[in-house]
Amino acid sequence: MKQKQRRIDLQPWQDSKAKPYIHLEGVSKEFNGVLAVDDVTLSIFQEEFFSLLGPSGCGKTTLLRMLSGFEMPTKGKIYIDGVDVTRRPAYDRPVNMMFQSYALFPHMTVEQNIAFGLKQERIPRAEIQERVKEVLKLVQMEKYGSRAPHQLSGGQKQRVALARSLVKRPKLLLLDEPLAALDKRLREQTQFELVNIQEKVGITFIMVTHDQEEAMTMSTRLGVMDHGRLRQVSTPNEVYEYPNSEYVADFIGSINKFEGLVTEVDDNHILVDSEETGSELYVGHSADAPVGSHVKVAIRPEKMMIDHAAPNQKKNVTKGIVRDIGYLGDVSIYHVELKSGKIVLATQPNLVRLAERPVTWDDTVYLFWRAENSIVLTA
Amino acid sequence: MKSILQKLKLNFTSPFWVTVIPFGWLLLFFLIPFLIVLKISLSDLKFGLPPYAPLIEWTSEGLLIIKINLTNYTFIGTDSLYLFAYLDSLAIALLGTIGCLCIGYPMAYGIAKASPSKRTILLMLIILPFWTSFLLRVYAWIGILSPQGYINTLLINLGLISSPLSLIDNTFATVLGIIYCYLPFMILPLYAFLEKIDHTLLEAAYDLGARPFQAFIRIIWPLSRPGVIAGSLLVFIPAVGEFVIPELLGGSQTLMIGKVIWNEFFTNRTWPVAAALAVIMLVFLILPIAIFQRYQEQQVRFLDAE
Repeated sequence: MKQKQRRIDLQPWQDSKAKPYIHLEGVSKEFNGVLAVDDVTLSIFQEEFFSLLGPSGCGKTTLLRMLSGFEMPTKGKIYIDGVDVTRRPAYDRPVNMMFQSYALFPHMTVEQNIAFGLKQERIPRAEIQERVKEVLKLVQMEKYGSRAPHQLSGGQKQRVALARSLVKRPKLLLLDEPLAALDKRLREQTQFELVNIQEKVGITFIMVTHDQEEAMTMSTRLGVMDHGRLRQVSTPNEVYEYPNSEYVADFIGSINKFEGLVTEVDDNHILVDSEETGSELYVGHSADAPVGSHVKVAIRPEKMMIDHAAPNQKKNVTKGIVRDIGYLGDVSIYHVELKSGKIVLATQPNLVRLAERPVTWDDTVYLFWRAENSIVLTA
Repeated sequence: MKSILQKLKLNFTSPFWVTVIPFGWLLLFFLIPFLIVLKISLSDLKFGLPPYAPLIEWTSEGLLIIKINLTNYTFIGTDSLYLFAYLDSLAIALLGTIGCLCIGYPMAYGIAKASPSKRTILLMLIILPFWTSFLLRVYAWIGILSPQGYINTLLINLGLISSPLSLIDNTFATVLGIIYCYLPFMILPLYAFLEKIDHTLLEAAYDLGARPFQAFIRIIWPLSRPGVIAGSLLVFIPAVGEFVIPELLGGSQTLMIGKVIWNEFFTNRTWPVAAALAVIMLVFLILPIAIFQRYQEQQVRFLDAE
């Protein structure tokens, strides 16, 4: 099947001339002297599925509420499709929100819930009916139009909430933890559905979530937030492979970090001397770290190789004893204790059955990795 | 305590007791008194104590005589005074209820929206007047409204009026008294329902393009309707039969059914007529109670799901 070429596949954020669709400029929000959102500048492009990711209290929900118009920024400006909406109230913005609690009106049927927003626009009744029907079909809830919200399951409520926020065809749809109330299986299935629907309707989505897996699978780009600040904005792949700070590296997935001193640096590599590993660490990219400065070299557990035999390399290698093995079915996580006492994680796919596993408890093993798979964290 | 209950084999949480206790209560304090009143209303008037003839009588010949006297009811129909008293009572109670609703709704909404710590204080302030005797509070209004009262004195001293306004001994004062005395009964159930409404529903309405007023009309008002009905009935039902307020503030021109019943009982000593008046009033009031019941069931259905 041939896929429609979408604007977003062109990666407009790579193009310096591309015009952002949603633009936040130095947006801050203060609550009783506490900065909930601290000077956020962010551009989001049309048809993007953007995720704001962060722990609770990091300001991501406040940012979403400022986009929806429920909160007014203390400082800064918000533009949607070139129009300054900073001071516009929620009812006067081309933005709709899907609430975490779904916020379906309990005294209205599914159809009445969905028609609510259209009635506010004084759209003719026939058109309302048609659009309600269309959107119910989109979320596969055609048969439930006359049900009351309390007669629906969690997944069905979620669909109705989505339909209600989509039916007005907003320029921007905000999703506040849209899948948090669903159980794991349903959540995974719904993730893809939501992305499919987004591609179909072509509306720009901004989602708030604390679930990194959700953000990774669904988004075109994501922004990692911490203490009201945006720490990194990039594609899921880039954020995972090239976190720009220790905070982001820790927040997304797990990562091994070795402290050390920079001994050599040039345009395409850095050499770090680490006591923790007892070897020199060669990183295959440059970083803003002068010789003699303290840095951390980070390697994802799945990029660690593990073997009884010493590898054919002198750099990027360390030795330790297997203390623990976490068996997850598809992969196993080896907890290897180095001489320094540091525990290093290495994930290996379970290519053979458990009983035939070559590396087991209390084995002395070598851990090693390729130079291009490690990164230097300076912040 | 537990052992005594166990010895007596009384488990008050069993389905049997859970139904028997409220029904027993209703039987003892509602149905039986009502049947006594009904019995009196069907009796003949008699001089003596009690001032009515028994309904069931054994004669010396061993005959069982049951005399049901409907003339008390037909008598009420013949005198238009009673009809007007009923209508006036309903009208005054209705005005009082509307007044309570108009004042109480914004207050209840304000309390429900206040921060939890402020809420407690505000609710206390609503309940506080109850700590003073009801009679005293109504009496105090005489001091405020009478020709020599605070309002008239103030207005005359300010030179706004030359002779006192007649603020008391009329329907206005009665309605005012009812609004004042029954306001908490309106606010408390309203508050209970308004407080339960999820604030995000209001945000959802704004988000979908509803301005604050529209959002109120289409979301908050319908969801608070059971509270409006509960509060209105709690005000309306006792207000219809109110005696003290029209007696103290209404003067001679306000004829409410409570006062008429009192007169029949104590001035005319016609207990059967008074009882018949009370029975008719109850029949009038059953209707709104039934409506309330229906709405309450509906509300339970909403809340089931949440």
